[in-house]
Amino acid sequence: MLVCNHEDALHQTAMEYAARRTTVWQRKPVSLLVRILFWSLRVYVFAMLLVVGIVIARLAQ
Amino acid sequence: MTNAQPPEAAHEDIDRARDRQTIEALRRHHASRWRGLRLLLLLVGPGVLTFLGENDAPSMLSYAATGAKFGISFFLPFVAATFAIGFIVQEMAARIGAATGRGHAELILARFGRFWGSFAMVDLLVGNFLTLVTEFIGIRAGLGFFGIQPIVAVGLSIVVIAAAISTSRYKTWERIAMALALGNAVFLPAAFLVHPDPSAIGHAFLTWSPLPGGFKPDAITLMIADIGATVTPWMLFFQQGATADKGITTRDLSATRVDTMIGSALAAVFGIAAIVATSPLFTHGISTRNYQAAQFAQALIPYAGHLGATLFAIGIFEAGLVAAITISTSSAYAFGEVTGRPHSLNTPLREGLPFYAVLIGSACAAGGLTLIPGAPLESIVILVNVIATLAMPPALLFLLVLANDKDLMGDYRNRLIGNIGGAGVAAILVAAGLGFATTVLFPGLFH
Repeated sequence: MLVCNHEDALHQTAMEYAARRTTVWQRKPVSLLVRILFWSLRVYVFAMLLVVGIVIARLAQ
Repeated sequence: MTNAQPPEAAHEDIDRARDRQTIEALRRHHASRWRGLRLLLLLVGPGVLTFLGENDAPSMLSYAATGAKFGISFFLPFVAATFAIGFIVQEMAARIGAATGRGHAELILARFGRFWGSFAMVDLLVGNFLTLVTEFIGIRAGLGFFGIQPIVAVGLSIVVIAAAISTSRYKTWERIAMALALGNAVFLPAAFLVHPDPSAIGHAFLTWSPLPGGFKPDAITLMIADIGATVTPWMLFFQQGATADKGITTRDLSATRVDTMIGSALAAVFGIAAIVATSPLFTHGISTRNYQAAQFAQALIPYAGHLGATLFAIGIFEAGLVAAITISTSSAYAFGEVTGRPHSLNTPLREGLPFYAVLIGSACAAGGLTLIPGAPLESIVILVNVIATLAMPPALLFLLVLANDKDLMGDYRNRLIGNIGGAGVAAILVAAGLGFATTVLFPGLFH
């Protein structure tokens, strides 16, 4: 009986984890401000990578 | 949030359920005073591994260069402050993982669409690959101190990484990685062997002296490298992914915070130990401009003895190996999450072949690159932490938006103080990046 309860509890917990794993999250509407922030930080990273490229070029010389 | 069809428990869910039952049994049945400690030992892992994984070869070399170039007066409190920043950020990542049971890349993809999800993954994979290369440089340099051939050093490390995942069980993998990660402590005896002056260390923390020589380009680059030694994008992806993979839930949030706190404290102590260990090179005016790990160890022999130098070399090897394990895992998590393939260390090898292939393949490719004669490895080592700092602000923005997402986080979403902390960290990182760009584009301003 104990073994049976243990197996049931294990199965139930596993199902809870499976439910968490398979939950589908819908796409979130992103505000204009956040969108602008996303893009400006992308530009920031791109500009910074150019700077790193300059450093590497100087090191190579 | 929807669940289109009744879920089917996979192998990974059953493994997590087994671990959960052990934890809940301890919570229910044991009234001993050691219960709290035993519970904590079961729940720690992702936080400690993230921070000790980030005390990696380039980070320890950044700290070593810092100690050798500037001593301890400015950088000891600076490094301690960077770990406080790291804690703020990583606590959020762990909380999202516990609340949703999902990885970071997976949530970016679900909530912001394929474009941003792919962007985040490509950013991460490129950054991770560069960092992995530096880990293998550290591995071969650390073992090179003992006369071990690079190909043997790299091959041996890949065998260890493969052995850790071969059991297809997160718990076993975590224990192996934790045992290796605690080896980071060898920097402590290395620091003691240079006979540091405790009053000077106390003075450094209490007064936070100005930077010797002022804010010159070299110093700013090292400051940014030291920040990059504490907060990097892969840490977010790894800790959130590992928290989900371990099966941590919101019931465990207190232990998860303690886990993150222990990790940041240990990493700060070991990082500071590396600075202290190499500070005699600063005191004696030895130039370490082009030093790699083996040269640092050699240079330490007169001050720390052969034992101290040996410990330093072992530390660099260990730092590289643990980071190679955690970083390749974070790449595999992100790949699996974005492509929708199984992405758990509990997945059997056959079912999770693409996940394990990315994990081992990225390690093999990075290790192999370090074996190419004439590859510009030194430049990569110097810049990899700087690149990590520069790539962090967008990752932080995703983190903050996710941590404030009411649908995902419910009652566990960020409070005002968390948002102020996160926005403050992002502002510091952007300012550091702009400072770095100014030193490069207008070097005349700093002379």
